[in-house]
Amino acid sequence: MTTLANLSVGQSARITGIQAAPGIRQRILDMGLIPDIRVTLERVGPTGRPIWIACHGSQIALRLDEATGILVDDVKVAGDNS
Amino acid sequence: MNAEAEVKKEAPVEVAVEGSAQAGASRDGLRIALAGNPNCGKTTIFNALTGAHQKVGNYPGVTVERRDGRFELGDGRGVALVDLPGTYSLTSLSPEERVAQDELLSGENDVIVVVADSTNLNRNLVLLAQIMQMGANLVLCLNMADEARASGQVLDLAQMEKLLGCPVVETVGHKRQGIDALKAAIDRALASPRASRRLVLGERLDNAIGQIRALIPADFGRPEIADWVATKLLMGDAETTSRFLAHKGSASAASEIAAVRARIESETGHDAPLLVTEGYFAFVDGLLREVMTQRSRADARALTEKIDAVLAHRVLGLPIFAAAMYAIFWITFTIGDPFMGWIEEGFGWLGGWVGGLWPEGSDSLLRSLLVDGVIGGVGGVVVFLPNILLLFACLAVLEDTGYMARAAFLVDQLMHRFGLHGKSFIPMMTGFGCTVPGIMATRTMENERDRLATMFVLPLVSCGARMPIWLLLIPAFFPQTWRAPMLFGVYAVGIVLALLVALLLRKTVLRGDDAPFVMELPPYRLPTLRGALTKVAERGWLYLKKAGTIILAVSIVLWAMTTFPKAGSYEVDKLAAAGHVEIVADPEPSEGEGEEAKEGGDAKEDKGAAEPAGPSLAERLAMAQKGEKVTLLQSEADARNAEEDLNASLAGKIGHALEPVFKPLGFDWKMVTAMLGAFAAKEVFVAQMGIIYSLGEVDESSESLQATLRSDYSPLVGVSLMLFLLISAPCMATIAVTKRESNSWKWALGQLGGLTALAYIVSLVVFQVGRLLGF
Repeated sequence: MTTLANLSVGQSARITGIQAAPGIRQRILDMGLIPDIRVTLERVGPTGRPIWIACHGSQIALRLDEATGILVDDVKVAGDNS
Repeated sequence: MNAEAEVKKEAPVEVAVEGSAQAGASRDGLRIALAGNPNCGKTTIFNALTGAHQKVGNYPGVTVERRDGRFELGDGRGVALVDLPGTYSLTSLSPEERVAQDELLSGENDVIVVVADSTNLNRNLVLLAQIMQMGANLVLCLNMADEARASGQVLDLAQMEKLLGCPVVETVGHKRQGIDALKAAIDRALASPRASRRLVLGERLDNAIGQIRALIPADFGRPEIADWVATKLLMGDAETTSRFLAHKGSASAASEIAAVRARIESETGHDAPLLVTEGYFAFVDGLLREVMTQRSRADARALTEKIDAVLAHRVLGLPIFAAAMYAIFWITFTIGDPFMGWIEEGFGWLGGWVGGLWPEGSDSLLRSLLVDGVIGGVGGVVVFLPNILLLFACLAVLEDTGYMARAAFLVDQLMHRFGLHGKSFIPMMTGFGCTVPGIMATRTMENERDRLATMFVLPLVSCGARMPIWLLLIPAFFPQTWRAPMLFGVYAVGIVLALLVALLLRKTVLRGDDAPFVMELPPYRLPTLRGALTKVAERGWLYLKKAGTIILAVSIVLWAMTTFPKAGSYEVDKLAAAGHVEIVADPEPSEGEGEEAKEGGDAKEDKGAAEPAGPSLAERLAMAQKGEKVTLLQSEADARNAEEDLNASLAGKIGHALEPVFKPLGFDWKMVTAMLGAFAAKEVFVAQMGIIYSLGEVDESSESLQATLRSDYSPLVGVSLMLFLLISAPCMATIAVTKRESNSWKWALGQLGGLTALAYIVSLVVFQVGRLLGF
């Protein structure tokens, strides 16, 4: 299954679900990372982590641990997602 | 996960409870709360509303969590205003969210103003939706409206008011635009209370919430918040559920609630928390579709993206960050220097003037108290005000632009390796200013273990109060070119030690899962002059206030301890009486006072460099003891007597008693007494050194403390001393706030003991190894 952690910089994808411990999951959901939303991987940190994504017009940094819990499909190169 | 849930329950909400109880008791009129997401400009709205009436309260024990202020409505009615911590949602994950939730649910507020960032309504209005479920009397304040308009976004405010059932106004907080309209909107909300619409989350959710609401006993919470409680129960929120289960007559209801949840989950194939969260977002989505007549352009963030392409660059990011940090220390030191000189001269003049009110050679106690205790102590601290202001100005710029979040992004992986969190970084940056708000800022961290580790190591991040110590000691021991690098070095050592100690804690007493790192990166904003100046002025005022209160009081106590009791009989007098010493008047100063005072300084301590003019004071006294006849200057005799007085005083006795313990670190008893004072407030170290040396001084007005230190101690002692002061016992305020925030004396005292022990070991190793290497 593809997760947010598998994207490379410049790719976008559609969220299908969140798998994480309840507290963490709620925090991710509160940030607007909910199913059917499209996210784009914008950049990564100095060692390739954390990752920096764009969604809903806001920019969010996530650790790889959290990103592996965010399931996605419909991966595209950003730009042709509209 | 279980462990985490348990720790969560114990998370300190004491402050919130205290706060609302207090507010309830002192309630004498209208009361309004400001709620909103982090970074939505809530505080600028708070400042714009309260203006000059704002109560500055950011020092010890004070509120990162909520601030209180007052303002007047158009018709002159006074209103108490509460600024709540910024939260994305009210799911009570972090202690901060609880503070906000408790206040919002208290029912104490006549109006709740929800501040939203107009450029990010999709997420910001979710909080509004949640607060709507609390049946509150709302006003929606769409802040940063100028930015949103510039990006091309157009909103139909009238339609929005109609759909939400509450007043909606646009503001630009930092330019104070729309503040009168906001006041008018508050007025309208007050005129027709409880008018906001019931939140509609879609048929399925609304039904489930309705069914659960019917199961809640009437005496469980206020009726207005029933929708909110029902939603939380539907989501299976641990805290609400356990509170509900503890309520009488809820046993049968609990199983029915579980059945409602099971039904909706099986119907949709999704779990309840996800469904509810989706419901909130869907509500906001639907609302925005109706009211947003024009969306913002896609390139609205173009500039921010261009800047991030450099500042958050994978390779360049960290070096730029390090350079920025270095620049701050350079600015603090270099630009502050001339101002510092002026203030120093000012206090020198003041000391001389006050001292001159008494006749020459007077040993009036009041004169000594004023000149040595008050002016020497407080002045020694106030001198560093320009540097402190510059430090805070730099930090304010970093905070206001949004660069801090990028820095947290860049260092997260590094912090993570040491068992900390990217978010630990922001409290640590705050800690450069003052450890106390830094510890309070750890509230934004969800994981209790991360939070405790961050709290424990925060005193290692050199705070503003320790800046005077570095500014005193570094120039005393190191040449100009080495000063900025040394200052940077002190901070770097503190940070490296903080990381190592955190790692140790996370591997031992705080072993456990890592916390999630989910953080928003706001767009860059140009800091406003007013915003930055307000912050700087606030901190500067607090610094002066501290100098005028705590430091003044401690200075007087320390002055008394260093003055009493007096020695009573003096060696010089005895030798003079025996005819071994002849005291002659000082020659007229030929090359200015400074030169002569320098000699006094050397003579005072026995290990001064050999004087060109014959044997030193100590040597001559030794000769006198053997029965030879020697000559002393009046100033030398006075210095000798003053030193005997200092030795005999209470502080001297304590210092002497503890000296053997600190001798291996290179400290003498004078430093030891000053360190005791530093526990009250770190700046006191400087004040106390000033007192000790000015008491021992022949001519108070001239000699600088730094010159004395340079002549009395080696740079190695200076390094050992700085390390000890950096690492050892945090100040009393820090211990108190750690106790409060960790809810544990054990943690606070462990911090005190652990860090002091570490300081002792580090200084011991550095001093002993340094000596072996011949420094």
